[in-house]
Amino acid sequence: MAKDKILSAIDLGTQTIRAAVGRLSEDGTLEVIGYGTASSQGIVKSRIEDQGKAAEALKKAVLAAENDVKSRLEHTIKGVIVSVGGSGVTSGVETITVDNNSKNELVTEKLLSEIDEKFETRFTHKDQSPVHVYITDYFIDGIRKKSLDDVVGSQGEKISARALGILEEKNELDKIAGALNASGQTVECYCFGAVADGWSVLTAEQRQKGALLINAGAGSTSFTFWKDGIVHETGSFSVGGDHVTNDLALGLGIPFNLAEEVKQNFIKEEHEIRVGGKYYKTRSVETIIQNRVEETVKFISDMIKEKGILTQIQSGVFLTGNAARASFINYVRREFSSLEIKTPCPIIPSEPAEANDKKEVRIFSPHYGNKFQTDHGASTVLGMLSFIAQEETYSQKRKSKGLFNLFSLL
Amino acid sequence: MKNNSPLVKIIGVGGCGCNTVSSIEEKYAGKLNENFEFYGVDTDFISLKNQTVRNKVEIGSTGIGTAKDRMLGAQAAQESADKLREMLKGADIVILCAGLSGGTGSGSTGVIAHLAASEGGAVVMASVTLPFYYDDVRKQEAAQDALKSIKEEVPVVMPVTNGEGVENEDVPFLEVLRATDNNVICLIEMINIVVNRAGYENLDFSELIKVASTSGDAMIGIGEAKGEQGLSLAINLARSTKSGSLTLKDAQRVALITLTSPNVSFKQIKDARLVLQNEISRQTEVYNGLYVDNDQEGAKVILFATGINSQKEIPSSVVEQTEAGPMKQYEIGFLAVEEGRFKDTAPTYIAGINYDKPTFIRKGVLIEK
Repeated sequence: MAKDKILSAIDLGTQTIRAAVGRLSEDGTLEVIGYGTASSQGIVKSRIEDQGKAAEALKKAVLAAENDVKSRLEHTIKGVIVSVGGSGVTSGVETITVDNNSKNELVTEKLLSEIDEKFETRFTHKDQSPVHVYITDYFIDGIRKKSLDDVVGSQGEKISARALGILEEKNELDKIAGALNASGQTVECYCFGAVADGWSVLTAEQRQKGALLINAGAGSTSFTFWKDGIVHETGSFSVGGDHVTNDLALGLGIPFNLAEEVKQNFIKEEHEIRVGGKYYKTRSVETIIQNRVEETVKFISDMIKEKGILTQIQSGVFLTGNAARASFINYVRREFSSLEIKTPCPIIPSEPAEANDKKEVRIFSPHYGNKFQTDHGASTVLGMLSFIAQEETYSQKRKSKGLFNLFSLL
Repeated sequence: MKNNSPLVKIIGVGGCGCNTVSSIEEKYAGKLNENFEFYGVDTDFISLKNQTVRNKVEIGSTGIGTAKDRMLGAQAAQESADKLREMLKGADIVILCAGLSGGTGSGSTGVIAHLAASEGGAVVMASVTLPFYYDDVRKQEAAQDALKSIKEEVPVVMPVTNGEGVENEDVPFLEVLRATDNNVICLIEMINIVVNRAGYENLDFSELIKVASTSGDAMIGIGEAKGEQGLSLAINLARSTKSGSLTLKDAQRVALITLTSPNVSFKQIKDARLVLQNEISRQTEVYNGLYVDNDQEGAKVILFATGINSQKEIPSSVVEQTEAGPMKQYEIGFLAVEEGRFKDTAPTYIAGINYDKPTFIRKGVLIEK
């Protein structure tokens, strides 16, 4: 009998903490068997501000997921993959070159492992650690190779690789680990939230052709640009839905929680915004929200244009989290008028897709019906399950230790 | 040094800066010794001529201003570098004041600061005025660009947003403009006391420079009060000076300059110091200066706190794609930052803009309540 592996993921959202449990089979199918949420505490702008409070909220989310799993399996969550996000997440591109013995020497897996290790060192800074490293290009004696298959077994003297490193501040990783430990959990691996989203809402074909994914959470907004199956560009900044609420609170002179209600009423497109027995001018609310959202979208748009990747976005722009809301979509449409805009939810069919040779984990769940088809917020935690399952199943040869996850051009 | 005392030069740059120094020089006429010198620097000959400031330095070659072009302001200062060197000669402390809505103040201030600090070795501080929050976006953005470039040259920058924090909107407009002079006044008062008075508890000039050179954000405030509890009240007033989201608790160093009448009691001093102790952390270094003046009615307190949030680095920006370093300069926190929920968190700075501050305020959009 094939041995299954139980995987657990936690999305440390500023508004909601989500925990999910999946059962990974050796045939590459991943069944979602548990899901739980809790209101966040101690997290501001996607960063841990109060470890104690965050730990309490984490416990609640984990307990909810464990209770959900119980009906299917006796399992206690221990060891999780955790999301990172916010302004502390940065990215950069580095190139590494290693020498083969001679021009006639074949490029071996061992040599590529040497490159992997060098990247790990290169992307490890005094205050930052790599969370993901994506090797985007290989060159043999200066000539670019289309795929990894063209590299191994080829002859060449100088082997170069270019990689995108996604880094997080060590201080923040310590805080996350501290909160997890205080809640009785241990961190097995970290994952950038916008990378996880790519594994839950994009199809393999979309990741291959070129897709821009934008996630706007309560605490931060981030994007990833996917092409050839891997991430080529990314960005993250600590401006999110809470900033909209904060702007409303200050603009209307009301407490934050009331401002959140005003925001929700506006999002529901109510003609009259009445909260706590008081009416608020729709035009004022609209002006405050639009100014913030317009600025945020413009900011992303400027970065995308600056990076020169607009023409490579063949599959379209995919919006998750708060970005999938009408007020955000309109501005995205304006900024990316030539591209198709989509607001996908996690793709979780009730049955696994048929096996094929694409070396891709097939996620499914017969337990939740249509639940995830309308839950934009669940994309990160479910994406993390797919991400770690993919690592476990197909990427082991190319995987380094600890929190360092290395992907190559497939 | 001049007469064995530090030479302080207060220099207004551009129309707004010259207005400030003219007004302050007038306020202090006959009250400061010759170690305080006031200068007005401008590219607009007529405007400069009409200023009351005693020392006037015209820069550039046209005499007609810069038409709000910052580059022309910088160019004018570079053209007249020798004149400016002459003006700065011998200065130990240079306090620059400028408005960042035009071209001269925006463009010349950085050049003058460079000449004063890098060439002259003076300690340089700048008080700069940002446009009103309801001014147009172009003006706001230009001012932010100018502020950024000045910060590259000036070690201590005090940005003040015109009109921010005005509670009674019926107040005369000119009074609102004058309110921005307070930064400079506080600094002058502080330096004047430290340099020119012998204290019962002496805070010497080198200690003041030590406090002023502590990296991180900073705040300065002044308070005056009379009566039995006057000293404690004065400290409370000084610490409550509008300083955005900054708090004394996060300060690394605090200079507390107290000027009282000779009959101040031990209890009054003790109570006042305890007020401060309750506001700071155990790590904060406090430099006390206690000065007595027979003519002083009640108590005057100046509180200068630095090294605030110095451990908090500006978050890495996705724009820069590089690891962000710690803040190079510190700002004295007079800029009211409407951060609300985020006031106790590391600010979200991207390309020099604090994105925690509401967008509609940064863009000057009026909201009907």
